[in-house]
Amino acid sequence: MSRADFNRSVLEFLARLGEVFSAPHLAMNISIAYIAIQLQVLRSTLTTLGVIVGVSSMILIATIGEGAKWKIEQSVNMMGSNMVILSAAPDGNPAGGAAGRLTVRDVDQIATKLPGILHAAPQIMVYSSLVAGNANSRTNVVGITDDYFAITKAEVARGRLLSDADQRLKARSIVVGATVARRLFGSDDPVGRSVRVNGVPFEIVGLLAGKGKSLSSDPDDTALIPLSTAMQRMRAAGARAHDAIDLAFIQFGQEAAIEKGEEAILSLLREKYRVGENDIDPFTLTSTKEFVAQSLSIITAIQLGLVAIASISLLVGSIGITNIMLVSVSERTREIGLRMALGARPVDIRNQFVVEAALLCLIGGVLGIVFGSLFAILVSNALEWPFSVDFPILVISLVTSVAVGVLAGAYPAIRASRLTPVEALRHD
Amino acid sequence: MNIESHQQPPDRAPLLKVEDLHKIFRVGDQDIHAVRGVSFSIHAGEFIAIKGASGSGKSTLLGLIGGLDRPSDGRIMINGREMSTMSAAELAQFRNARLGFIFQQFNLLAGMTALENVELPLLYARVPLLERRQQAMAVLDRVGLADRAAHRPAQLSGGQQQRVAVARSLVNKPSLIIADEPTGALDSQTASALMALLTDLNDEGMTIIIVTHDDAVAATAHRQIFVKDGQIISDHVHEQS
Repeated sequence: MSRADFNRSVLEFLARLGEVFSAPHLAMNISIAYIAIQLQVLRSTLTTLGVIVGVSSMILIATIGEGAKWKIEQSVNMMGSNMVILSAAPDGNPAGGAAGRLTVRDVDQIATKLPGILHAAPQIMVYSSLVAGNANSRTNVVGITDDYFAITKAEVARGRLLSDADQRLKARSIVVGATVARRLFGSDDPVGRSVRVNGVPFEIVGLLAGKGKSLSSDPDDTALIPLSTAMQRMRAAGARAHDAIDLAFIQFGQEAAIEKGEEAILSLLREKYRVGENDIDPFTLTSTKEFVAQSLSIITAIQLGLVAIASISLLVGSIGITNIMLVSVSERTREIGLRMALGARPVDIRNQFVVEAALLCLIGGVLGIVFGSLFAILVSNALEWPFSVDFPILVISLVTSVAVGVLAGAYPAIRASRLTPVEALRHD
Repeated sequence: MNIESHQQPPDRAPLLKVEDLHKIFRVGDQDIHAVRGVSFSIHAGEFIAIKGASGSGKSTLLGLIGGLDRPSDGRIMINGREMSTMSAAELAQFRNARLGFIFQQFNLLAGMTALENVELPLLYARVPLLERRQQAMAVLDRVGLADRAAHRPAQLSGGQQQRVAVARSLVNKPSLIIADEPTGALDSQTASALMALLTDLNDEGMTIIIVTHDDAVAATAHRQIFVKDGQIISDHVHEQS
C-alpha cells in the first residue's frame, strides 16, 4: 500500500466516522486538516514539539509520582499499618529550644501498662563515621532491641542478627546494610570483619538483606547495634537521662486499637512529663498511617509543582502553534479565497483552522503520551518500581492538548475567516 | 457600436440584472474608480464574453457579479435576489448554490485528487460522502477525465487541470458559470479545446460569462461586452452560426 493510498484510506475512514456520528461538518474539517498536516510533516512535528514535551513531562511526573507513592505505601506495609512512631522531638516549634524527652523507661511503661501492644522498640539513632582500613561510610547507626526485628521483619543475607547475648553483654556487634558493606569492603564478605564506629571497634556479625531503591533515601545505608551498647557508648554527654532514646516503634495487635492506643500513650506521657494544656509536647507521636498521608501529600505537592512547570512548556508550545498557524493562514490565503468562492462561509474557514490546530495538538498529545510512557517505563525499571499510567491522566492530557490547540488556533482562524474572497484570491 | 442591440424577448425575466454598479478602491490617499455606473442584464442560456484591456475594470466587475466583492454602489440581482444586502455567510451559500467559478490559474488544491477537488463545493453544500462521490464522478466523466479521478493536480496537464476546474464549477448545478481568463494559462490548442467544452455546456443550456482579453476566445461567445475605464462601451450579440 503506497503512502497516498494509506492517506486516502485514513481520510475515507475519518469521513465515514464523521458521518456515522452525523457530524459531516467536523469530518470535513478533520479531513482537510489531515491533508494540510501530512503535506507539512516536518513543520507539523516541529510545531507540536512544545505539546509533545509538555504532555510527556506530565505523564512522566504522574507516573513517577505514583511510583513513589507506591514505594512509600509498600515500605510502610512491610512494617504494618498498625504502628505508631514515638520520637524525642518536640511536637511543633518549641519556644526557647526546649529539648525532646523520651526514655527506655517510658517505652517499657507504655508496653506494660497499656493494653493491645504487640511490640515496643526503643531506638537510638546516631549519624556516625564507619571506618574499615582506608574505606569509610557516613551512616545512621541505630541502637535497637529484639523488638525492632519483630516489627520490621529485617533479615540477614549473611551472618546473623543481633542476639540477646549481644544486648546483655553490651557487645560491640554490628549488622550492616548492603550499601555500607559495599562502601567499606567492596564485594568482599563483610561478616567477621572489624569496623570502627566513631572510633570504637565493632565486629560485623551480619549483612542485612537488601531492600531495594527509593527516590530519596537508601534503606540499605544503615547499620544496627545493640541498644545497650548504643546507650553506653554513643550517648552524647549532657543527655537528660541515662536511658534517653531518639525514637520508638510501637506496634499494636490490631489496626483498630491504634486510635485509642495513641490517646493512651499521649496521656501517659503528658502526665509523666507534666505537660500543661497549652504546652508543646516534648515528644512526637506519628502513626504510620499519618506518616503515609504526610509523605503522600508531600509527593502530591511536588507533583503539582512539576505539573506547573510542564504547563509552561505547553504554554510555550501553544504560542508556537499560534505562530505556525498564522504562517499557514498567510501561505494558504489563496486556498482560503478559493474555498470562499466555492461556498465556504467565514465560520467554515474559522472552524477549518481551529480543527487543524486542535488536530495538530492532539497528535502532539498522543506522541507526548507515547514518549512520556516510554521514558517512565525506563525510569520505573531502573528504580524497580511497577509501571502504570492512570486512565484519567491520559484523558486529561488529550483534553488539555486539544484545548491548547483550540485556543492557539483561535486567533489565526478568526483572521483567516475575515478575509474577503476577492482579496484572498488575488494573493500570491 | 450598437449598445442596445442585445434585446431579448420581453417576457423572460433576466437571470442577472446589474444596475448602476460602482466600485471605488482607496489606494493610499487616492480613490480609484474601477467600475463607473455599469448596467446590463443577462438571460438564462446566454454565453457572454466581457472584453477589455488589463486595468479596464473587467475583473473587478466579474468579482462583483460573482459575489466575491461588494459594490460601492448599485445593485446586482441574480434569480431575483439582491446580492448586496446579503451577509457574508448568505453570500457564501448563494455562491455555493448558484455560481460556478473557473479561474485563470485553475486554483485546484494541490493536496487533493481531482475527484476531491471537484467534491469541494458539495462538501460546503453538506452533501453526504457517497452522493458527493457519485456526483463528482459524473461531472468528471462529463469533462472526459473519469480515468484521472485519483490523480493529483501535479500529475495532470494544464488542459486537464482546467477541465477538472470546469467539472468543479458544474458539480453544484449552478445557474451561472463565471470564468476569469480561463484560457490565460493554456496553449492555443488546449485553449480551443476548452472553449469547445464551454460551448458544448452552453449548448446544453448553461449560462456562461467569460472575462478575456483574447479576441479569439471572445469570438466564441454569442454576446460581447467591451469594458474600458470602468464603463461598458459596447455590448452586442453575434449572429448565431
